[in-house]
Amino acid sequence: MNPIGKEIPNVSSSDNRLIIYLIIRARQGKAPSIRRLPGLDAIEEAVGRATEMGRPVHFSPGIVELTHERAPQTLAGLSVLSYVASLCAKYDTGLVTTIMKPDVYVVAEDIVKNAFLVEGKGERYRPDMVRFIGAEQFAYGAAAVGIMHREKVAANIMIGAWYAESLMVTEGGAQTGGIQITGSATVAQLPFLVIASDYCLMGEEIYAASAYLSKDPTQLAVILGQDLAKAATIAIMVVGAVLLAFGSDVVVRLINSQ
Amino acid sequence: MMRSLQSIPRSWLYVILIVLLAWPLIKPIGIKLDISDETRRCYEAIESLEPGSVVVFGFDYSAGNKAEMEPQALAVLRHLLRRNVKVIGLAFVEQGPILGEQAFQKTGWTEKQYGVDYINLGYRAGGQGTVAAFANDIPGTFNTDISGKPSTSFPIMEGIKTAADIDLIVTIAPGTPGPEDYVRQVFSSYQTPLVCGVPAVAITQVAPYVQAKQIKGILGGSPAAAQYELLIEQPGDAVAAMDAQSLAHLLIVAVIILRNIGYLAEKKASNNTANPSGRGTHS
Amino acid sequence: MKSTVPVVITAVIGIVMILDFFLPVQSVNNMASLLQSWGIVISAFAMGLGAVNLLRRHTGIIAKGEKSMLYSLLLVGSMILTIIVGLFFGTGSKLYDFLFTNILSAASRTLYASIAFYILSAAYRAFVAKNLDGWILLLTGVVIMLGTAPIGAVISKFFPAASQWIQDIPNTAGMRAIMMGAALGVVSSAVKTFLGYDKSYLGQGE
Repeated sequence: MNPIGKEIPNVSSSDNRLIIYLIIRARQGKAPSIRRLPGLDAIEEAVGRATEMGRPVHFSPGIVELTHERAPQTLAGLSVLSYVASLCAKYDTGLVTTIMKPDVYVVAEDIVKNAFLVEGKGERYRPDMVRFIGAEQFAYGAAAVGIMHREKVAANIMIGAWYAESLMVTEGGAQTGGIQITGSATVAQLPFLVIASDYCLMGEEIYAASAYLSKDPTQLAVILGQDLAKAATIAIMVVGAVLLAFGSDVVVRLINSQ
Repeated sequence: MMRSLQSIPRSWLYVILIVLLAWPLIKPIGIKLDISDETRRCYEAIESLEPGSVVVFGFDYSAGNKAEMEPQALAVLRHLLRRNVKVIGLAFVEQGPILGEQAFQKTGWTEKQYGVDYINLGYRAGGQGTVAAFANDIPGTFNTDISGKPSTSFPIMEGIKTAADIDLIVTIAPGTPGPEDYVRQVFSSYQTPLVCGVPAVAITQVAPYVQAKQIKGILGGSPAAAQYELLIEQPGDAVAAMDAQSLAHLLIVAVIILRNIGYLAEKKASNNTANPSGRGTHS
Repeated sequence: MKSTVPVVITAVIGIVMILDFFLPVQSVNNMASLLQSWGIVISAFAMGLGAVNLLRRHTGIIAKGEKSMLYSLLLVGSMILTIIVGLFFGTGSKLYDFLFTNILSAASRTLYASIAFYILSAAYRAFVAKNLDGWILLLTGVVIMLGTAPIGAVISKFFPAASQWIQDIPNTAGMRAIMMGAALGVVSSAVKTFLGYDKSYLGQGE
C-alpha cells in the first residue's frame, strides 16, 4: 500500500468526481471558456515564421520516459507535438523532433506520421523528422543544440520534463536567433526556461495545452474542474492558516487523519 | 563606446571564463568559506548516529552529474566511516552501482569487511514505485547484491526488513528518483530520517520539504560539499573548486553590470536623438 | 477500432495502477507489479527500435558521404564496439569499466561542465533591466549568485543572508504554488486520458 494514499486520497478522488461531472455538463453543451495562454498562441506564429523563412521547426517533448513519474509532462508535450506536426504538414514546413527516450521515440514517430496523414500530406513525411538521439542526458542536450545550429531552425518548441540540460538546449536555441517556446512542470528548471525563452508555459499550463489547442468542450471542462479543485485547495490553506493563527490545528489534523 | 558593452563577443567571455576557472584550480586563492546552517544540519544528523547504526546510502546520480554530486557522496561517506556505522549502498539510477563502487573505494570503505560493515545492493529499475517497494520490503526489493549473491546471506542484512529498521537514509540525487520520492514513499510511512544531496539548482525544489521537517538537511551543489569537507576536516576536490566558482560568479555579475551599462547608454543616446533640444515633447 | 483498443488498454492499465495506489489488495498489487514489469520490457524493445533509427540515419549519412559523416562514423563505430564488449565480455568486465570511466564518464562530465558557458551567455543576454520585472530578475539573480558563492560573504554578510531569505520565503512560496497547480494538472490529465477524451498521445489529438 502506498503511504501517500493515506494523505491525499480525498482531495484527488473528489477532484476526479468533480471533473467527471463537468465533463458530462460539457457534453450537454455547457463548455467553459479558458483564459489566453500566449505561449500556445505563439506556436502558430512560430511555425508561420519558420515557413516564411523556409527553415525547419525543432520540437522536443522533454527527456523522461513514458513509465517515469513525470511522464504526464511528456504526454503534455506529445499532445503539443501533434498540433505542431499538423501545422508543419499544413504549411509544408520542415520539422525536426529530437527524442532522448526510446519509448517516447516510438510514440512521437506515430504522432508525426499520423498528423501528416490527417492533413493529406502523407507523402511529405520523412523518417528523419523524428530522431532518436540516445538515452544520455547531456549527449542529448549537445546533439539537440548541434542540430538546431546545423539545420538553422527558425523556431524551437520544447514542452515536457527537463533537468540540468534545459539551459544548454534553450540557450543553444536562443543563439540560433529563432523564436523559442518552452514549457515544463519541473519547477527547478523553470527559471532557466523563463530567461532563455520568448514564451514559457509554467506548471499546470502545459497540462491545459491539449484542451486549449483542440478547443474540445470536454477537455475544457476538465480544465474547469482542475481550477475548481485549485480554488478549494486555496480555501483550505487560507482557512487552515487563519485557524492556526488563532491556535486551532483542526485543519492540519483533518488533512493528516487517515 | 559604452553601447558596445551590449555586444561583447561571446567567444571573449568564454575565454575569460576558462581562465578564471582554471587559474584558482592551479593556484588556489583560499577565499574564506563559511559553513551554512543547512550543511551543519546534515553534518549533525550523521554526527548523532550511534556506532553500529544502519544507514542506507542512495547512489542516485550518474556519470553526467558526477562532477557536482560525487564530492558530496565522498564527504558524507568519509564521515560515516568515522562514525563507525554500517552502510547499505543501493541505487535507483542505472549508473549508481558502478559509481557507488568507486565511492566506496575512494573513501576507504573497501578496507572494512564487505557484507558486514557495508554492502552494495546494486540498481533496481522502476522509479518511485520501486522506492515504495524498497520501503516496505528491503530484502525483497533488493534480493541480491551487486555481484548477484542473495542479499540476505550477508550479516549486515540481518534484522533489516522495512525502512523502519534503518536509522538514516542518505540520497545523493540530482533528479528522480530522489529526495521527493523518498519523502513520499519512505518518510510518510516510516518517518525514517532523511538527508539528501542535490545540485545547486534543485535546492529550491527540495527546500519546502526541509521546512516541513520531512528532510533533516540538504546539501546543495559543490559549495555544500566543500563546507562538509571542512566540517570533517578533510578538504578535497570541492574545497579546491570553490575559488573557481567564486570567480565565475563574479564574472557573471560583472558581465550583467556591463551589459546594463551598455543598455542604459544606448537608451540615453536614443532619447537624445529623438529629442535633441532636450525639451519635453509636450511643451 | 484502431483508436478504441489503445484507449481501452490505457484506461484498464491506468485504473489498475490507481487501485494499486489506494487498495491494500494483494491481487491488485501483483497485477500492478506485473504491468510495471511489462513496461520495462516494452521500454527495452523500444530501445532496440531507437537504436535501429539511429543506425538507419547515420549509415545513410555515411553512405551519402555527407559533410558530417565523420561524426556518424564515430557514433556507429562506438555503438558497435560497446555492444560487442557488453555482449562478449560482460558489463562487469574491466574492458567495459574502462569504456565507462574513460570515455562515457569523461565525455558526460565535459558536456555537463559546458553548462557554465551557457549560464554566462544566458546571463549576459537575459539580465537586462528593461522594466520593473527586468530589475527584479536582475537584482535577485545578482544577490543569489553572490550569496551562494564564498566570495559573497567576503564582500558582505548581506549576500548570504539575503540569498537565504529569497530562497526560503518568496521562492518557496512560488515553488509550492507551482507544485500544487502542477499536481492538480496531472490529476485532470490522467482523467481525460483514461476516459479517452485526450487521444493526442495516439497521434489523434487535433
